[in-house]
Amino acid sequence: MIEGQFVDEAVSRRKFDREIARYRELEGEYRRRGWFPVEAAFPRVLVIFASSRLNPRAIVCAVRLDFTNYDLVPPSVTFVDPFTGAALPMKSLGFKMLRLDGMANATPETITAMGQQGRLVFQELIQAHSPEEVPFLCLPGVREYHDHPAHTGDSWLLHRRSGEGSLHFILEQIWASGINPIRNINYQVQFQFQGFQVDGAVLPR
Amino acid sequence: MKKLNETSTTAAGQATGSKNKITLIIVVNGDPVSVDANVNAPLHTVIGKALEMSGNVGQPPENWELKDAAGNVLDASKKIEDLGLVAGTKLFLSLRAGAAG
Repeated sequence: MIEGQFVDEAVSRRKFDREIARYRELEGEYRRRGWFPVEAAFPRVLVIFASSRLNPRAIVCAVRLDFTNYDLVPPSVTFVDPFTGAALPMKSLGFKMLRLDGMANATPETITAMGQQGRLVFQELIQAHSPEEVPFLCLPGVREYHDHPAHTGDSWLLHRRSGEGSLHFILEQIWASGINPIRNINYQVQFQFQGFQVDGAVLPR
Repeated sequence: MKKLNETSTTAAGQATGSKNKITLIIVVNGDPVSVDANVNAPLHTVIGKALEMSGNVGQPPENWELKDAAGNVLDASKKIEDLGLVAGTKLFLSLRAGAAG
């Protein structure tokens, strides 16, 4: 794979600027969804996602998109620590992007009932080969998907004119599969036996 | 390509001349366009128009889904009036993501 910017940079910059301008046009809508862009300088965009449904409001994740060689090459997507910008390994991600398999025409009531019975089958869109590795978003329109050896038959050039691989498309997928479905924080509480509580008044004196 | 500007955004917030026609703002993959619609027609009638106006012709209409601002998928077979959509409503026409994994 060739590293660095090999597409005429002016072309990639112009397309990057177009993506940012489109984003700015709808920034108010996106903010209400909990999308907060904190960096946008070619070739990178850093967006923090928060969940507005939680109380207190919570940052769920941050994502860095790299538009180097756009759009001969689709954007690279990396989930990063929102405070440091460092790429996060799979074990530190703290959230999932899920899709329901085989439920395209099911009603919300059916899905709720099947969920209560534990019969829903989820597909995870964020994948890694080990918990220590930096995960990738496994979706057409994302550089890591098209670069993966399993997807050599699904070239980006087949998707390039489809609308996939745009800033909006990628952020929308992250929001729809990872952020918007969040309803509660899932706590795990572990109890440890520490002895008994006694009533001092009934103790022998 | 018909783009929204300040004037058309204002116009989109008002009903058009006919009492059955309204203008909806359809955000096609992040690109807003204003589309005239008949309130008695099913919602899917605006999909083709919005795709054509935004120049998104790389995918057939059935690969797109209309959502409200909260991300709820709307039943495009229902009449626009029955969905409670009024002039100036902003809807999001999103491409269904391809096979993943």
